[in-house]
Amino acid sequence: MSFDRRQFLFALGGGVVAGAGLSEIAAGLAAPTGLLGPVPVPHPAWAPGVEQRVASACLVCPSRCGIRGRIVDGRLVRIDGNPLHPLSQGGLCPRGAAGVQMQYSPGRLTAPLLRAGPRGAGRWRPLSWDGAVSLLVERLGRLRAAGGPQAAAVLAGYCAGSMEDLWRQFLRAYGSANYAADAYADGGDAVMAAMHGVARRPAYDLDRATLVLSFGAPLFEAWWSPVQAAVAYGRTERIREGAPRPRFVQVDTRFSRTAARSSEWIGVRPRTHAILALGIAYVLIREALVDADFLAAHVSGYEDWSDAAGGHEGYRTAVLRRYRTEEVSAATGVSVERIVGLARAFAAGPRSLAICGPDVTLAPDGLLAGLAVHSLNVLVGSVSRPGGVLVGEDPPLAPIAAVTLDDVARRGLAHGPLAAGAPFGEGGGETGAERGAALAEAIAARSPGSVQALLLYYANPLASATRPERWAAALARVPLVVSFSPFHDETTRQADLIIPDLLPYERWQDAPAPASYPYPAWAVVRPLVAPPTGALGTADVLLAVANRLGGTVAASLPHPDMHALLKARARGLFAARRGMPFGDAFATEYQRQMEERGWWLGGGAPAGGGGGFDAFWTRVVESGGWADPFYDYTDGGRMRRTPSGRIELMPADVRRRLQPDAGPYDFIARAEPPAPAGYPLRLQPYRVSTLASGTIGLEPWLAERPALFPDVYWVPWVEVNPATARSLGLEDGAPAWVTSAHGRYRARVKHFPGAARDVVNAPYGLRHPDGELANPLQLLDGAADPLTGLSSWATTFVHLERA
Amino acid sequence: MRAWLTGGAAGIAIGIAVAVTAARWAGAVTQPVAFDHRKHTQDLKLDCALCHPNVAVGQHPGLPSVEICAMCHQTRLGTSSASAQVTGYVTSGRPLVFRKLFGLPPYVFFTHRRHVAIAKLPCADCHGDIALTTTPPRRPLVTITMNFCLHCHLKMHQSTDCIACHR
Amino acid sequence: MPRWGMVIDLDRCTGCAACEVACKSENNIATVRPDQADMGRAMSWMKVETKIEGDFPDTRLSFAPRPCMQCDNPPCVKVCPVSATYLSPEGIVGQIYPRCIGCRYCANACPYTAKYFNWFAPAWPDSERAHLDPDVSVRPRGVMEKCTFCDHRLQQAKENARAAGRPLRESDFQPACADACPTRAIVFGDLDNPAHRVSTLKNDPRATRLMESLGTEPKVYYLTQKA
Repeated sequence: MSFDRRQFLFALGGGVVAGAGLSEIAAGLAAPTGLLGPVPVPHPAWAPGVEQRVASACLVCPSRCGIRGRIVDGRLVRIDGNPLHPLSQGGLCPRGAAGVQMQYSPGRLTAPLLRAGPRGAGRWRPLSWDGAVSLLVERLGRLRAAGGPQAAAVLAGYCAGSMEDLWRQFLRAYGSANYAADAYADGGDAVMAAMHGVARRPAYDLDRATLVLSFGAPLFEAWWSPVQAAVAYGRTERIREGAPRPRFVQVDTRFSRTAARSSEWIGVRPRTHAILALGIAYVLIREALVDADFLAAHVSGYEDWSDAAGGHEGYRTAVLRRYRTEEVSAATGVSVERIVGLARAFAAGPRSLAICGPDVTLAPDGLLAGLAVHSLNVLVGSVSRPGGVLVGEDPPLAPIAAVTLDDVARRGLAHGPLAAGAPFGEGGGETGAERGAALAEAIAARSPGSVQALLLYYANPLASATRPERWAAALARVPLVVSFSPFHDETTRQADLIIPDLLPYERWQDAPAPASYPYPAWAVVRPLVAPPTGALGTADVLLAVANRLGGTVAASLPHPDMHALLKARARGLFAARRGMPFGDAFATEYQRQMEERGWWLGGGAPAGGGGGFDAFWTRVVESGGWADPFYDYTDGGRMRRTPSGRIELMPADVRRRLQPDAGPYDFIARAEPPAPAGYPLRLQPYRVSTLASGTIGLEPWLAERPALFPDVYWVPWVEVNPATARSLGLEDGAPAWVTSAHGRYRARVKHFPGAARDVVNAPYGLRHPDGELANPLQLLDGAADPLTGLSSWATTFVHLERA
Repeated sequence: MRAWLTGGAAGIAIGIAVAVTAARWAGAVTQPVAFDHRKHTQDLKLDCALCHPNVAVGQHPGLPSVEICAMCHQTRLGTSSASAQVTGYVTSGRPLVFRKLFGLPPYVFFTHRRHVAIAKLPCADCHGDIALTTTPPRRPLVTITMNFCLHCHLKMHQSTDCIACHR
Repeated sequence: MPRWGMVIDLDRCTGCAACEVACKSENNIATVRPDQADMGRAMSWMKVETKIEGDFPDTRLSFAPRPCMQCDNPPCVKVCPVSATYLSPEGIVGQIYPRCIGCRYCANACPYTAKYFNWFAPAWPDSERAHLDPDVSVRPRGVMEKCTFCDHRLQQAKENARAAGRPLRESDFQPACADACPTRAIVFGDLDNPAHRVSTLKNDPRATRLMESLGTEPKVYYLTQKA
């Protein structure tokens, strides 16, 4: 997308000015003829100016905020927040507001493209939509007829709700277990699985918490929902809760925007977040500030215990033995007073919450560090209670349809996923979800032909993967690579067929709130503007392919299009006798109080929700979605799904996978390797808010202001402490190579006193004005957490030199 | 950089030249069909809003589309050649595009809704006797200048704040 | 006659810049080339100013969203030789583009650097003309432009209120920046109307105005613990 836009910007010449003048005049507008030339107008032709405001949801990041499009004469001229959406409450982030520039980006693809030269040559032949569907049907049908449906694989970027369900159902009915996700992850799901036995990322009751202690979670930047955090940050005193605005404390190695706006920021040495967390735990235990009743009633592993295998050290002993405050202070660089003060504040709460983020969990011991941080919530009982860690649930949608399997599908599914996921990987092993990296390795390692068709849905692994060369090797072994990206990217260049998805403002989809939000909220994405003539969204392409494959595949996906599918699934909401179409703050609170008392009066409608399903569906679509604002805090069992029925501070599953003499909380004993010779600076990649998921071009409005620095425009940068940069002879704004043992890239040096002296903070996935990707992930050392499969972002060292 | 600036300057110059020339032509508007306002508004007593559907809600009142004509002109009415022409458009499905006659510069922000629906001004105040014409005028019947607007605004004690119309 | 003003709670601002982008979208603010941006020619009527102090780990960083201050005693108006910029009866400092001759005196006179000069004809790829706001001009080359408190929204709100036959309410008219702010740090209304939140917030002990000593009488108030 960036290429055409840029060509335009650089080609601002006489032709453009003259052309604009001509078209305006042609439209019959009297042009002033001063020295300054014609006055440009927003739209060259006259238009009635008929305005509509239509509710939908934003799909550019996992937050899935409610939006309202302002449509004038069929053009999307502005995106506002939808004030009825319970999560975003009318707020928006800069990316959401810039969506209109994505919609009208000159680089978007409007028709399917078939490769016309060798891969990577960039020669394409346009294909009709029917031709693209037929080609897909023919290739996938042939694979199935040959009895090898397991050789089809899907790599999906961030994808949730019915779109994910649709991909999975399609693959299952077709007969393959190879669905792999290549998307934002912070390991929170692994922590929940290990300690709580819950297969879901944690939800945080930010609206009610009074102290939010964040360990490296970029709450206001590129978190699951920056808007959810911002709404909590900006909330006024709530009389009902009696809660003042929450205090935010940010613990991190990187001074971020979140750190800047927290009440307190605590800079720690790299890779010592978990040590600080356990140092706080030490004070909590020593000063008897833990919630002893909660620990006794619901938690196992706190005290020492013995079983058939002998005696085991409990959490309490492990922490008291190793995390004396002075030692923690020496390791982390945080003063003893601060550690003690932090622990006391956390215990005093009254509703404290510890959150861990990717700066902690994207490390070789990421899961263990995540457990250490989350153990603070368990110690003070901030689990399943207002202001604590909760577990949300999916909206009660009806299933897409019953899946029926024929023999081919059953045999294909019996092969299982190509690559086994990590034990605590996203989604676990059963559902066939696995990290993209594992899939690439499996394709490269297995015999040729193990994957015959690879479908990429919002995935650009050649740019987003830690080791892109693995993906390059893998793609070379796959005979049919199909990308559904609406813009050209690194991976579409290596694809055989591009079937561009409709843009998010042109299609039907659903947008469930991210798991960080405790309540089920289901926003409906609906077309705000007409798509290009004849164009099909990826969902509709899949449904058409399923229909034409016939048999059990068609029977498992019986809907004519995505709109029909969504409407059919919403029958589940209608039948659930709970929740409501989005309503204002009063209606939502009324609904919550009613449900708390065991009432449901037809979803906020005075007349008992009369009018039947069609009226309900109309209200859901027009208000923007459906939500259930009630959370049952009394149901603590939702957070205790381990075999023992208790929260496990020393999870058996984790301990089994560690070295025999190691415990889960041994951080302080592990010496951190020093920086290798020649690479003195630690690389700390991070996501910028304007580009949460990385690797796309920025809309011009965002490119003008990609981060917190007022003087950084367009060109990718790295943040370096001014003293460090000066010692390397790099002035502010100097072009530099960032080089690790695995690669290098070009960026501008930004002097930033918020960077530690021995660290380079590197935003992920920005592009130079010429389209070149500046991607710190390609420099990473390839280390990963064996328990979660997530790559380590914190253990790579680099050096800087002038470019 | 220099080349770029020169290019821009050249472009502006061309733009001015074209604008000056075109502004002279822009005065004359020819319509695809010889529409008879008098017939429709006086003889048939049709409401202006029937053919200018957004007159009370939009910025621009809207011009009749072929669908609006088709409400009556499915079959040939009367004997005029214009009527036959319209029926021809309706039955053949060819696009019928009427052209805008009254124009304001792009830096004037005017809404019909405010003047027609809220202030309830008669159309003739600004459009003159357009309703009485029998053939499409080639030039606006009233020359609308800022003076013309301000005269009325002062008379009616309405805002004369610049940003109310220029933004 | 209302006197429109804004109160920005800096203790609520997360510096996300949603206000900036919402403003650019609402007001058709053109984008300039990267090298021109480096020369300080990028335009942003609403700009989140950033101040960084200290050194790691004792770093402090503060944000201040900066629209036009809409001064009651605007220095820019005094220097305009052609009355292209003026103070409207409702307290909004207007900028009339067709009248502006681009002398840039006002930009030099403004102590808040809130006025921007169009160095270039606006650069919109054809496809992107579609998202331009039809209620606002696209400024030609060579004129000054500035924040208008989204005055076109005020016109529309007044029109809607009159059509419905009711008085203008506080919630009817919000500028784009206040609308988008996820923390609700930006509050907008009539400073003289006791029913509007801004009229009480401006008397908050935390309230302050930028460079008050200059006597410009800005109508944008900031709330902050650290004065």
